[in-house]
Amino acid sequence: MSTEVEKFNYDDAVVRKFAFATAVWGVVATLAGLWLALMLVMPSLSFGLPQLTFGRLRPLHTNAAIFAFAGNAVFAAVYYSSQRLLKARMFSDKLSNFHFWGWQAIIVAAALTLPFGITQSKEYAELEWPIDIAIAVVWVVFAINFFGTIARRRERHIYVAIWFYMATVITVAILHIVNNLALPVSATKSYSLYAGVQDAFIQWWYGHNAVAFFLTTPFLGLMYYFLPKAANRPVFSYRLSILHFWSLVFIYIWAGPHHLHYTALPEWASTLGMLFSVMLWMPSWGGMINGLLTLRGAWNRVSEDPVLKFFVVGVTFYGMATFEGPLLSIKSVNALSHYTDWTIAHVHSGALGWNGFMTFGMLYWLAPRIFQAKLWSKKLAELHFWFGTFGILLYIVAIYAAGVTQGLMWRAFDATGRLAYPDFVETVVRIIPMYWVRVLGGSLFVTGMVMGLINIVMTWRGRPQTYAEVSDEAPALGPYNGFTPKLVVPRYSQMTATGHAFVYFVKAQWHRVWERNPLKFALWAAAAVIVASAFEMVPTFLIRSNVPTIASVKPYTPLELVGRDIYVAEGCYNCHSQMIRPIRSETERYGEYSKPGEFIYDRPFQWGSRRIGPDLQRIGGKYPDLWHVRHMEDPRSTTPQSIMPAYAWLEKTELDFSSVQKRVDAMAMLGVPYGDAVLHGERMAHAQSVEIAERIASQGGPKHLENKQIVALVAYLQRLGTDIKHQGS
Amino acid sequence: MKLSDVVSSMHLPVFAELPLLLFMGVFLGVALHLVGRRDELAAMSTLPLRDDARARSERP
Repeated sequence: MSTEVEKFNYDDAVVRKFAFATAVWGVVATLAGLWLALMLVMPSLSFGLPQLTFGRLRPLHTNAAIFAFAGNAVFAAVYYSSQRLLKARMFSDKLSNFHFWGWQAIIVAAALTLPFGITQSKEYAELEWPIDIAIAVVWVVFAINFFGTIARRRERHIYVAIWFYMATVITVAILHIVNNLALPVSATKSYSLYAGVQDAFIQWWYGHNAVAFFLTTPFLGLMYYFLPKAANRPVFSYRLSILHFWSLVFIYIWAGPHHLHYTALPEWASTLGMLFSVMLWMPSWGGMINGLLTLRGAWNRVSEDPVLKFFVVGVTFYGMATFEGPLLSIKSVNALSHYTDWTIAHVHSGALGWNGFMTFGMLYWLAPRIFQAKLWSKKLAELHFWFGTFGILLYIVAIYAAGVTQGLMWRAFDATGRLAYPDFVETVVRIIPMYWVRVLGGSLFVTGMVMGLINIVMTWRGRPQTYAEVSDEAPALGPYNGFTPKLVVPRYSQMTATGHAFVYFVKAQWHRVWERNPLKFALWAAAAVIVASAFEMVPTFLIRSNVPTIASVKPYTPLELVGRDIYVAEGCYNCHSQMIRPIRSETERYGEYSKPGEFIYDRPFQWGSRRIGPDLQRIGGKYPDLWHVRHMEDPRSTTPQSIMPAYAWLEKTELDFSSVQKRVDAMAMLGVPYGDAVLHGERMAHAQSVEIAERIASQGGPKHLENKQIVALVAYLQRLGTDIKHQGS
Repeated sequence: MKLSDVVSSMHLPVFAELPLLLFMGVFLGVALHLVGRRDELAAMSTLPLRDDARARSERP
């Protein structure tokens, strides 16, 4: 075994870059959120521009918050702590730089495509296929760099923070690839390989686990490293941290279907998602308690140290969000909360409270170390903390109130057994004051973010002319010469073979071996994720009774398909669901509940997760064509209190008939029985558009719309839900 | 015959409950395994603080 002490330097340059990017993108993401919050009360703020509508900008906000702000924070944490915990410089500086610039390029690509309606419309996976491939490449580079560093480490034991990072690297790769499998139609358009129920299942398997493995596990790694550093105390219970890790890895991956309660998803999958979600409460709170108790004996410092303040509130929000998550996954609670702003409040308490506060705790701790200068202003950091805390509290309390109000109003019946608020817009008007409080809270939070950015920039400006190399030394890691994991349990004559095997398991060294063998450890973590996913996916895809077909459900006509693609591009799913739950208040308001077989040609599914406007599953045939034209032109002309932005350009923008055939062909390749449309898609689309345009003109509307996008959208909207409506099912 | 025909005819009512038991078992296994590793785990928990300790000892 080599005992020679080796000297080496840490690469903090890449940490500085990621830290800077975190602070900058944090301001951008929250500013976009504030703008969207304002649009809810002032819909005219889209200024009639397609690129500024709520439906197109909301994905920009969510992607910026998750992948730009939180993502860069995760990478800063990983690059700083991994090197120190593994006693090794990153595997390759070139790969580190490729990772940084590649990730920023992806963020810029997102900002340049989403406002132009280039989207897959899957929440938090909106980016189209070329960007998805770029994400996969950059992620693989990150993985090589990360695991390469582990391979070259000088510390034998792999600390628990690294375990959390490993789980993140492996699982995010699996989630991203599986959810984004799609057939390209052009460089900016693709169709999901999955349809309807299966697409919804895969999307929320991804969506929930993006929260788990992008916004939770890496931040727990961050917590287990930076909190002990800031408190100058070891983690309260290392044992609890191990339990925390394995519990999350084994349980989280199952919980996705709780996003689809009472939908057309098979009931067994929904129940399974609920049970595992409830089980998550226990390890999550174990982790929270572990974090807070790490501060034992250091609580007196919290009042004077902004870093600890951010961490305490961040961990508290982790506890709050992970209590609320299982609560919301319980079907009876979910029946009230789903599609309301309650979910939005929950998400923001997690993203701003947990991720945001942990990030800024880390940045304020890191800034003096990576910029090798004193923090510019401790007072400003304190002020940031208070602005952030009051901002988030104002924000989420208002949105909780809005969510519960919405949920209760949607399901309220009067004494005669009729819906108490039959007009959806009544429930919108009622929560407008809460939207204003949300704007106020959001403004405070954004102000805090700007203070954070100023503090980081000013600290950077105080840096030395040349950064001093940060060096360390440690003996090289030779072959393991310590305890050999052999059977250590003595055989007692009175002990049965089973008893002996049990004691062996309890005392066995298998886990200790894993802790020293990253490859084995990574493989077992990956196996846990893959096996759990397979248990849910195989039956969903292969048991036919899960998605019974309905004879009357036919593929969309070529024009309806193009109209559907416009609906997808405009991000209508951000405000409108297409899923009527089998709950009386919903069937009274919207019509017959949704059946799994109705969605077999929906690529991607458009069930949505929120109702800022009403459900559209049975909108087909409810209004004349002209109503839709007027509504898109100016929503206030048909519904005076509507908060929907105007889509007047749809009457002016030419419909691209030349792409119709490509779209039909791609769908046919995916198994949609298109028949004649495979040969005559474009001609059929023309014929239907002329028919609709004539009808609109005959109803007193504008003439000559047959070549405009609005006609395709009207065709799609008028088709929605009619397949079984006409059967009288 | 397709794979979906085979799986659809397998009648797998316990398929959903099985993983629940399996994963509960693993959870309990990890919990039990952690009993009695106090000293070893205490040493591991100080890993993030070791460079701080070294820096302090090197300070003049």
